[in-house]
Amino acid sequence: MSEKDLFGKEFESVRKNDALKPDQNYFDELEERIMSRTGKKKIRILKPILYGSVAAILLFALFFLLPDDSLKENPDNVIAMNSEAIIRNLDYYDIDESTIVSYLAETQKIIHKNELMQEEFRENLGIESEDDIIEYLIEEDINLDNEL
Amino acid sequence: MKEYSDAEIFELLRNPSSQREGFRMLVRGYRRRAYSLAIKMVFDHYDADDAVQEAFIKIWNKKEQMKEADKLKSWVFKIVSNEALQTLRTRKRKNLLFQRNTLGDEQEKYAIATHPFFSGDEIQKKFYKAMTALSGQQRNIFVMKYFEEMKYNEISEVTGLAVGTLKATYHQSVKKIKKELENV
Repeated sequence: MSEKDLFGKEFESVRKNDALKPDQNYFDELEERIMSRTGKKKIRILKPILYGSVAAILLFALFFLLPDDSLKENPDNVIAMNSEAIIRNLDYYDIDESTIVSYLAETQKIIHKNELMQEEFRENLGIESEDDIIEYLIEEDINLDNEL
Repeated sequence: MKEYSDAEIFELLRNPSSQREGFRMLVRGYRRRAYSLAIKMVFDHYDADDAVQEAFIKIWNKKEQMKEADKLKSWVFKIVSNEALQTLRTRKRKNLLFQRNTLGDEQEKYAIATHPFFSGDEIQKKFYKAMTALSGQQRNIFVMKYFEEMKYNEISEVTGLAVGTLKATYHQSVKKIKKELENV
């Protein structure tokens, strides 16, 4: 018995006419959906950029959230940390912000260029805490422009 | 647009510069048959749509594994039927979990009755509803043999089952549908 006669004449239309067949638009749209999911190369390039940016933002945020002790291990970080402390208290100490910025820039240069001067500078400023630096600057009434 | 043969699609897929074109031709050439197989297994348009889409994405991701042009058809059918079977398994698990109607029950009959593209009559509806009495693998084999008119050795390539097993399963499926048609 062939497949045609399996269920009798009454059901012949089941094979002849697929009643569950969507229209052409549906198949065109399905094809486009499938094709759009295969064009993932752009996403592969974009993803690292996206993740990189997020990671950079997180690291940046983490830097400011780190406890002070973790910064003390690196003199450059100490300078950065202390500069923030000074800038935060500019109004109180009546020091011009641009002065501090240039001072810090020059300080960093000096530290990198001259080890001896760096040691002396660290001794004089007493890098143990932010307060030490601020106190030192006030007590000695240091004109930072002149010092440098 | 020109219809591509399996051999031409296979050649396009092998060349990195023409892979996407080859894949588009493969989708175009098999999208109707893939849907036809999936819908007659899961009976829900949206599930069939998902199964076909996922199957083609798998085909794209595994295109390098395709080694012979003359196996393209069975390869496509294999992945589509596996996706459809997976849909049925997932549905069954969900139904058991949430204690809803089990496979082959009113849920599928309702899906047939509300299929957005249904263009048949009551006879066809009756037949499809009778098909819901079949298990997933029975539907798979029945659709390939009865609707797609594939040969047993072709179905064997798709399912990995022996021809004897396929013949017996098909015979049981026909019997089951006949019984259901008498009862509906």
